[in-house]
Amino acid sequence: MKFECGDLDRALEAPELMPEAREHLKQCPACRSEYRLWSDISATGRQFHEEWESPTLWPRIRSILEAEPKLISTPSWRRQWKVWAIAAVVLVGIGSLFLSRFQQTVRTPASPDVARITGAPANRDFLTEQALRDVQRTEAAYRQSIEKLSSLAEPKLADNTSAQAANFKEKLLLIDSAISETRSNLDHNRFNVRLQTELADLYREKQQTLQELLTRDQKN
Amino acid sequence: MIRKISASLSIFFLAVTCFAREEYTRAFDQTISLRAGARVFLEHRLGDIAIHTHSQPDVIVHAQIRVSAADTNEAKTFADRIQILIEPSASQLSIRTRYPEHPNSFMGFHNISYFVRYELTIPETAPLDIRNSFGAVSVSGLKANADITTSHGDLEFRDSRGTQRLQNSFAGIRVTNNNGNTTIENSNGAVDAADISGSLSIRDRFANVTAARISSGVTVANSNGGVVVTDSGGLGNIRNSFGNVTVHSFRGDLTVNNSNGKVEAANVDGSAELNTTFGGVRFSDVKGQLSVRANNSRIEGERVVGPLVIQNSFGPVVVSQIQNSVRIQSGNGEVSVANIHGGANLKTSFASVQATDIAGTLEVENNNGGVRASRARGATVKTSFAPVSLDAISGPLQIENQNGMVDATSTAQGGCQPVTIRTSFSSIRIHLLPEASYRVTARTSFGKIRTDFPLTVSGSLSNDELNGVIGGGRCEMRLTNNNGGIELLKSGS
Repeated sequence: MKFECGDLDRALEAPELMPEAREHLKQCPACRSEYRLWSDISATGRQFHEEWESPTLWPRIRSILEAEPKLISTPSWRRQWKVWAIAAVVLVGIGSLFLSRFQQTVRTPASPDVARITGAPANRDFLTEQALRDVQRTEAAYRQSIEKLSSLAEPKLADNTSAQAANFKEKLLLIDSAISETRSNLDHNRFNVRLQTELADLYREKQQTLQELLTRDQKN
Repeated sequence: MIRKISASLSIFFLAVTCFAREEYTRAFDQTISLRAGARVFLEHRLGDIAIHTHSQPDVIVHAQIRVSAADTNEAKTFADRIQILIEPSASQLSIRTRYPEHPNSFMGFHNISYFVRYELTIPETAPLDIRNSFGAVSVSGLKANADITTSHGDLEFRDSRGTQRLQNSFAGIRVTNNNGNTTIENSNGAVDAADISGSLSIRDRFANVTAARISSGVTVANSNGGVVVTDSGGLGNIRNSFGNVTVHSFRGDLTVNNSNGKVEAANVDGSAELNTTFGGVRFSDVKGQLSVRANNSRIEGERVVGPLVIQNSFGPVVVSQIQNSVRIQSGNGEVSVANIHGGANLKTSFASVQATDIAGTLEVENNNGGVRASRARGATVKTSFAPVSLDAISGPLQIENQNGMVDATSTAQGGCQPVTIRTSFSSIRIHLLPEASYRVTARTSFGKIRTDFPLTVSGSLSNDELNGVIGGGRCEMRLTNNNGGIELLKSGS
């Protein structure tokens, strides 16, 4: 099957298409950008509860509703519409803000065409403080996820002397080396979008490689 | 309650909008006259580079130094400390970026970020040497040799002339329209090369490689990624593993060594050698000789002008429309050939052999597998524990089987076309034209001999042995069986 941009949505729902999707992503910046967005939205979704600025909001709403049984027993939930509306605003506000921060942080760095120098918007080159915090949280989540995957993959690779296992080992070493190099640069340049994007890409690639390794191992 | 929620919201949005940062941009512009023959050397990291060319002897350097810090003063101070060193000499013009070793900030060096973007316009005939990292490089219009290394940023090279060496890692390399030999090395990044008047050499891994319209030879060493070569010529040498190799329209000799991946070759003007394991081989329209060596693979193809040699195991082989001879050696895999304009020599085991329309002689050696053939100019077949069925064989017939029936139809006419058939524990049935002319010796045990033909018998008569003459007795026929019958039948009966 020749993988095309239109197949990306399908691949996101069908894990067996992901190896072909990944090959396509290596060559297609547009799809890569879209995939990155989906990945980060997905990651954001998973972490959303951790980002809740007012974790007692819902319990308070619930306690208010429970404390006023008369109001609840009647169709008068409409009387509480202001509470619900504000809660919705909070949800939408925080969600939109968080997503927009992510979109900003995962935006691809400026193209190699330096003709864009003069017109390049400033926010594409450097992160803001808030965006950096988001990125660092995402990175921490990635690292945790990767560490878990690594611990699962490690014994499978250790005892395996096949050519394929050697390939996986080599690729993981290569990625680890690149992660280390990128992190070293980031120590002095934390707001640099290119470096942050590169690091995120490397984590993503490592995660995909480990997932591929584990999936293949399960199939075999 | 509503007041509390409103207060929380206000605090939240306030927290989000504080910690604003300031950015500062410093432009660097300088024009330097370059000596004739001198090269341009650019050493850089953290930022993109774009190279344009012109017909003037000047090098025009434009750089954009960008810094982000907690406040504008801090950003400006740091930007001023970033140096762009320009050092002309007789042989080269060096341009180097120097970032401060330890950025100074009241919040510590963790609070500053920076990079430099370059845009250079250089003489089109000036050799170019670039060392970059964490930045993309694009070069266009260069009419001289170049040696470019970068990492973590795309490398694009186009509309050039000269010998080019391009290296990258963790990002792609794209080359278009170079008049000269091109060498590319990458790691974990795709390579895409097109329209190269010269040779192309690519070394890559963990990514895909594509090459199109390369005039003077393509060499690719890749692993863990696909390789696609189209509409190219010269000598083709492709090595790969854990990825597919596809070559279409190649004007020259082609060698592909792959493993754990498919190989596909179509429209090859020269000879081809296609090898793989644990994949598959597909070929068509090969003008020269073709050799295929594989393991655990399916091999299929058609339209080869030169001789075809195939070696395989644990996979089927299906070929057709071969203008020359075919030699196939397989094991544990079916073999099927059709429309062969020369002879066919086919070997396998534990699988069937099928052959049709063989202009030359058919030779089959099998074990534990059946043989079915039609329309061949003679056949020599050896197998065991499976049936042999041959139809419309116009030349000599030699069949040796064990524990398997033999059913053969000879259409031999004119000259002597001897027939020798041997089997055991099954039957022999030979169909001959009515005008057949043979001296027949048929012998069996625990079976009967039956014939449609009038025989002139000599010697003693018995159920299990017969010596006689059909027609004029022009040629020899030996039929030997154990524990099975023998039948000599007229075709059509």
